[in-house]
Amino acid sequence: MRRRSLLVQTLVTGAAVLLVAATATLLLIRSIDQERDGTALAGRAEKIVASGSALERFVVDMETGLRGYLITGDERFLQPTNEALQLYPGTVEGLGRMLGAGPDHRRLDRISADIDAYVSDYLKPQIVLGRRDLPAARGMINSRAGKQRVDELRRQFGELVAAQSHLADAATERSQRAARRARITAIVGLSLAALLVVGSIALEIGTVMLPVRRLAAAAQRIEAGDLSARVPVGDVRQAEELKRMSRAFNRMGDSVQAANDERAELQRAKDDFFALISHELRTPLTAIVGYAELLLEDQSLPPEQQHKFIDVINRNSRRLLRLVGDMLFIARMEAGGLDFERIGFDLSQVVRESVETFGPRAERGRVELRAEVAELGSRTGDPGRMGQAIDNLISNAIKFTPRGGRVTVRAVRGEGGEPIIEVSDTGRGISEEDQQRLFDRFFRAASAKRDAVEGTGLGLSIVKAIVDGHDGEVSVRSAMHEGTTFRITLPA
Amino acid sequence: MSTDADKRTILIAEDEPDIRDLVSFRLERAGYDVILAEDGQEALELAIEHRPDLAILDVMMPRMDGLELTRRIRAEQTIAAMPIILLTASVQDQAVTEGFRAGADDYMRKPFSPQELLSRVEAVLGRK
Repeated sequence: MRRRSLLVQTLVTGAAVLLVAATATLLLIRSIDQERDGTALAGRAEKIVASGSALERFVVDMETGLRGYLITGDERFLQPTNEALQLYPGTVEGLGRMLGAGPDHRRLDRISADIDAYVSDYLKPQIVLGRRDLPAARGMINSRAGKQRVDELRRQFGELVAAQSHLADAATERSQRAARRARITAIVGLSLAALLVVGSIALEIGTVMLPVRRLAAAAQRIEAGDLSARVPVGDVRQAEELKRMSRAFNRMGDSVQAANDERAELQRAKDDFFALISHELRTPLTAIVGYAELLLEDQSLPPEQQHKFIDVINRNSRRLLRLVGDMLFIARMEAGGLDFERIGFDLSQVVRESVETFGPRAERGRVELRAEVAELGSRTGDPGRMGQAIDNLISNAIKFTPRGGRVTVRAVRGEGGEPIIEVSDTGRGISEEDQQRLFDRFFRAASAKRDAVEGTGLGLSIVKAIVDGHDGEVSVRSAMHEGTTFRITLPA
Repeated sequence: MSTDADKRTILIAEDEPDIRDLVSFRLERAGYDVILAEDGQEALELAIEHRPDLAILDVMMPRMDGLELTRRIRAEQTIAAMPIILLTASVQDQAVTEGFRAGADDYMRKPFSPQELLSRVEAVLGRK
C-alpha cells in the first residue's frame, strides 16, 4: 500500500487548491482587463465618431455661413463660418491624437488637407470676392463648386465614421466575449476548487478521522478493562502517522496485557502457595490433634496401639517442624539474613545421618534406600544446613519414587578431588521444561501438582541457597519415566 | 459405642495414610464398616461397586480431587443420593462454597476432632 503521510497529503491538497484558485484568478483578471480594454476602445471610437461629426458640422457651418453672406450680403451670416474656422484646427488635432497612427489617421490627414484646401482655395477667396463684388461671388455659388467640395468632404467623413463604428462594434464584441470568458472561468475555477476541498475532506475523513475514532474507541475499551482491544493497521486506509500511532497503540496494548497476565499469573501462584502451605500445615496437625484425641478418649487401648499412635504424632510433629523450619529459612533468605556457621565437620558423616533419618520413611513407602558413602574427610561449613540440603534431596527422591523403586545416595570425590553428593531415584522423571524452573521458589513440577504430591515448592530452592552458601553447585539430570539425579558439587 | 449404627458402610477417600487410618479407626470403633481409597479414581470405583451409606472425601487428592469426585458421584445414577462429607485443608470460604455447589452435604475443616466427625456422620445419616 502507498504511504500516505498526513503532512504530505495536507500539503498536496492545499497546494492544489491554491494552484487552482491562483490560475482562475489570473484568468479572471485577464478577462476583466480584456473586457475593460474593449470597452475603452469602443468608447474612444464613439468619441472619434462624435468629433468627426463635429468637424463635419464645422464644414457645413462654413459653407452655410458663406452662402448666407453671399445671398444677403449681411456680414452677420459669416459668424458661424468664422467660429468654425477658428475651432476646426483644434478638433482636427484632437481627432489626430485619438486616432493615433493607422489608416484612419491618413484618412484624417486627407480630410484635413481637403478642408484646408477648401478654406484657402474657395472659402476665403469667396469671402474676399464677396466684399469686393457680391454679384460675382454669388455667381460662384451657382457654379456649385463649393457644394461639390463639401459633399466630397462629407463622403470622406462618412467613411471615417463607418470605419470607426466598425472598430467600436468589434471592440464591444471582444469585450462581451471577455466578460463571458470571465464568467466561465469564475464558475469552473470555483467548482474545481470546491471539488478539491470536498475531495480532500473526504480523504481526511477516511484516512484521519475514522482511524482516530477507531483509536479513541479502542482506548476507551482498554480504559474500561478490555485489554484485548486493538485497532486494525495492515489492510485499512489511513495516514502514515496514524498507521505508526496505531501500531504503537497495539504494541502498548500487548505489553499492558502481558503485564496484566503476568500479574494474574503471580497472583495465582501466590494463591496456590497459600493453599499449599495451608494444606501442608493442616495435614500433620490433623494427625497430631486426631491421634492425641484418640489416646485421651480411650485410656484402655492396648499398649502397641498406643505406641503406634504416639509414633504417628511424633512423626507428624517432625514433619510440621521441618515445614516451619523451611518457611523460616525462606523468610530469612527473603530478608537477606541467611548466615552460615563456619565450623569443621565430616561431610560423609552428615550424609550417613541423613540416609539413616529417612530409613523408616523409605520402608513405609516400599522404596529401597541405598547408600554408597566414601570418606570425604573434614571440611569447614555449616553441618546442620548441609544436612538439611541432603535431607531435602532424599525426601524428594522418596516422595517421587513409586513403590518398589530405588533411591541411591552416593558421596564420592570427583576427578579434581572435589566432593560430590548424588541422590538418584527411579521415579517418573522431570520434563525438560520443568527442569529449567526447578530451583525457583514455590515452583512445583506439573506432575507433582497433578498428583497432589505433598510439598510447598520450597525444598529445592532451600537446597540451592545452602549449596550456594558453601560455594558449591547443584544440578539435575533427568529422563522421563527413568529417574532423576540431583548432584551437589562442593569446592575441593 | 453406638449400637444403632446397624453395620452401615462408609467410604473414606484420603491420600494421607495417617489421616485415613485415623478416620477409619474412629468409625470402626463406633461400629461402622469402612472402605478405604487412596485417591479419587479408586474411590469412585469403590463407591460404584459397594454403594456405601456415606462417603467422607478429602478435597486434595491425586488423580481426582474431592470436588470432582463429588460431582461424579452425583452424576452416577446408582449412588447419586449418597451423603457426602468433605474434608478440606483450605482456609478460604470459597472452597467450602465450591464443595456445597459440587453437591456435598457437610464439610470438616482440617484439623478436626475425630469425635466431631463421628457426630456429623451420625447427624447426616440420621437425617436420611
